[in-house]
Amino acid sequence: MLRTNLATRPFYNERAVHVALVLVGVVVVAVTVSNVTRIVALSGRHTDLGLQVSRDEGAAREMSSQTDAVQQEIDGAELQAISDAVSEANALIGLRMFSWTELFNRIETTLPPDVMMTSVRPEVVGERVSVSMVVVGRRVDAIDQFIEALEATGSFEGLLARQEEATVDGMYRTMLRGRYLGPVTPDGDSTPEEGL
Amino acid sequence: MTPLHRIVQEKRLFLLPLAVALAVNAALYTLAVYPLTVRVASAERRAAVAAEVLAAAEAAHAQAVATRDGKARADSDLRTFYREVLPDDLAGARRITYARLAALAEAANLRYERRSSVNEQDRESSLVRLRTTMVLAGEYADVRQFIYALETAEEFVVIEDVSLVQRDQDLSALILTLEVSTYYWAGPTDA
Repeated sequence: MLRTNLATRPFYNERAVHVALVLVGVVVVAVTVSNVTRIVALSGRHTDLGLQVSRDEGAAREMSSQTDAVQQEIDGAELQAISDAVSEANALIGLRMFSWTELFNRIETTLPPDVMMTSVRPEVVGERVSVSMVVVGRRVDAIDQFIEALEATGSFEGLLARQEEATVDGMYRTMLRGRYLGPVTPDGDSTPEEGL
Repeated sequence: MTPLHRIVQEKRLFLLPLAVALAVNAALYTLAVYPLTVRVASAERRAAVAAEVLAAAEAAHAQAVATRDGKARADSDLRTFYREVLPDDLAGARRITYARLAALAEAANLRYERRSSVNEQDRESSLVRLRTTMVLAGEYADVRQFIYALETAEEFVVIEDVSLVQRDQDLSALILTLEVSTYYWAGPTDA
């Protein structure tokens, strides 16, 4: 004999509740798997990074001590002396390599008839060659024509009449100075200087 | 009793483990996953800094080694230049300027007028310079020939200055004042 009054127990969809419970269970399992996986991965990564940091720091310390040892082998004053000597030697080699014949060829092809060159002096500083020359001309525009013609060869740049004076015989003596780029090759490049 | 209470009541055998599992997961995340994430991020920053420090140390080491090797190479090149290219001493410098220059001038048909020589050394330099100033007379073509012979000679002679003056009485004759130098190593430092 049934003692429960079935009318007091309202109906609910038990299948839906079961489905919901299964879904929640699946979610809980997934979250658990995710958490465990992340813990394992993060722990591994943390360990690897720690090893990497200590390895890099050790290598940096070792490298610094090696650098100190190498630097102790280098005497600063001696290094400066060698650097100065190399600069001096390179300047001398630059002067030795300087082609006066090429320079005279350039000047000969550009010198106007009423201008005469009286002095030439090259100066080599590093890879830069400057040329100072003194010319005597009857007219300033002839000297200017000479400057323009020299620069047009491509072998000179930045030519400037640094000093000019009138001579007793009515001529102009001008000191020109500019950068000499050396003989120009057919493709427009100037030849490089050699050195130590 | 509401349906929800009834469901909870009737399904507590399933709901309780699910609730416990959810609580354990929340605790795992709070106590393990999140702190580990923060620690890994911090470790990554430390690793990046350590890598930069190592790269800087390697660059400094490479620079120091390059300087040391460059110094040794420059030292060797300088020794070669001093011993094999430049004359050994004053006698060697005199040999390649005194008689040699006169012979080259004669070969180029230049008349030898006067000459002066001086040896000098800059305080900072380990090279002694033997500077010779020559005054020669001749025609322009001969001057060119003499300069070409001088600059293509084997000896280390540097033409430092060239001055040309035309003689008033003879338009074809020029006075060439030439300043040439050669150098030899004389210390004081053993470069």
